[in-house]
Amino acid sequence: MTTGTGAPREGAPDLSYLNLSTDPVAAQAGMTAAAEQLMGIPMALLKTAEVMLTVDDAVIAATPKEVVWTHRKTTLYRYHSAKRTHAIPILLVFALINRPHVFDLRPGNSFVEFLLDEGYDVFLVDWGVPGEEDDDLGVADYVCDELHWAVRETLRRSGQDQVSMVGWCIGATLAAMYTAVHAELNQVRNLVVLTMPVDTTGSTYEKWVNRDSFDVDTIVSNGGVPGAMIDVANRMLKPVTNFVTTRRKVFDQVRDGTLDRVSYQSMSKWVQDNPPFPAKSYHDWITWMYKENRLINGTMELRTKKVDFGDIVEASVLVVTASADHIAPRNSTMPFMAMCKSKDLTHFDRKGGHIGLMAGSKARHQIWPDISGWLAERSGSRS
Amino acid sequence: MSQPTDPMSAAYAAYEQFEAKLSTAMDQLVATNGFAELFTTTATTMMAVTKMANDAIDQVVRSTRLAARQDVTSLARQLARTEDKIELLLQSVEAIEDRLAATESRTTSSSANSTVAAAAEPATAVTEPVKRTGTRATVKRATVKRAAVKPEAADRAPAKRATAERAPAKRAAAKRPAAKRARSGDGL
Repeated sequence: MTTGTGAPREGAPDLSYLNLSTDPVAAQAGMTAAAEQLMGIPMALLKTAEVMLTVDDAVIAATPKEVVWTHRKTTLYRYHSAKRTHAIPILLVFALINRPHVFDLRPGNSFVEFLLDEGYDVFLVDWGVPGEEDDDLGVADYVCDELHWAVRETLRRSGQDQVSMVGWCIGATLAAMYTAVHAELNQVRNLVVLTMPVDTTGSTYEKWVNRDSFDVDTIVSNGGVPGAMIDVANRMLKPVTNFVTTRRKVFDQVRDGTLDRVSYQSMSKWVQDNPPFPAKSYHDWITWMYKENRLINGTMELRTKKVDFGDIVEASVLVVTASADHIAPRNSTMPFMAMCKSKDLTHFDRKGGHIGLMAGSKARHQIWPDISGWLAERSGSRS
Repeated sequence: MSQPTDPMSAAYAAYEQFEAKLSTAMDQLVATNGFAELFTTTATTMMAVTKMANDAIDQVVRSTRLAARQDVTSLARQLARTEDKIELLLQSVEAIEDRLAATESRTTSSSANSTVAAAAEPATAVTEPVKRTGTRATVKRATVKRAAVKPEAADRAPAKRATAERAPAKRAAAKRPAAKRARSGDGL
């Protein structure tokens, strides 16, 4: 350790700002403090490991609900509510990767809970955990069958003619495609799309998969793509942040005593729950969205019916983008604003990431009230 | 930003600085064509090898005259397709039930209107305006009654639609007024 007070040797780093004392008593006190800090590290490491290894104990998706309808692995849930004030029900649609539990993450920080408090009748479509037998389900099947039937059951159960659809990530794209393809039914009164990928040009994903060496036929030749593989690919977009920084920050917070254990564990549990991506859906999604960019080129067809966002005219549409979204960046969503011909089109651009925007600790006081307020004006009242 | 004054904090700050720089560098690296080529080739090769291994294991299991993974999957796929057909069938049945209920409702309301009109007016004096007024009033009353009952009934109903447990025809029909059924796209 350098303790001298003389001028530093030539080329040696200047450590004068460290206030390394020449006073023996002060130096001893400094050494003791440093030793204490060092001794605290193993303890903090153990606690961090304990927090990470007990993630499964976290309680997520706890809001009471009932099963309304099932088909294959898809389940439609309806949440119990004592105070429904808005007529038009809300149908929540999440992506084919990860589980929709993020809508109902944990008691006290749940979008579902918030909507119920605001007086909405809330339904959620859960794609479940597809097995190998579901590898024949393509994007068209999800949009034209599963989602269509989920809307049908939502309407039957709620006794309403129209529904508000709230889609997130791939779920938003599916919801938007559903609204466009079934525009003539006029069943979607409001469409809310959260961090929706539309134009994939220039994205890192596109750079990865839109090349000959990425043979999507080989990737799905063994059946559905394992959830873990999808998860690794997602994390590889920001490798150091996702593999190192997140864990290091937990360690820091454990050491400082500032870790919100419940919050961390619930989010971590959700992130680690990765169902497989059904083979045909994965093939469709990669080919149509990333290799051919069909939504932008106007060549997207579902069961011979062209998907044209310009057909969305009657439904009110709310587009939500996140400024720090690296999975579906704002410029990936914005073309939708030009393509959609809705008479009532709104755009919210907020600070946050792809998931943090809606599931972060600030969401409850920022984006959720904004979405609820927008929906309230368009959801009628329950007589 | 002020510099830390103790060696531990200084070391930690230096590490954080290094991590931030590494993060930026790695973010740039994963967006390069070289990384993309490596990443996708690895992924494709890994999946191909996995398939070969699975196929080999399947062959071994089959050689012992046991059902292998592919056989089980094939069976599960048959079940899934059967479920698809049942779902379509159920939707067709529900649509027919809804139409029947709508017809019954129309028949009941028109016969009730005829009775009311016959009692109120002499047979020779039944005129169009009177009949229309009576019909409108009856329809309005019926709609109001259904609307008042429907939401509570829907709220109380258990999860009977879970795959095989469908709502009985009359209950399902009673939940929805004819006009709503017609608009909800039950075209199958």
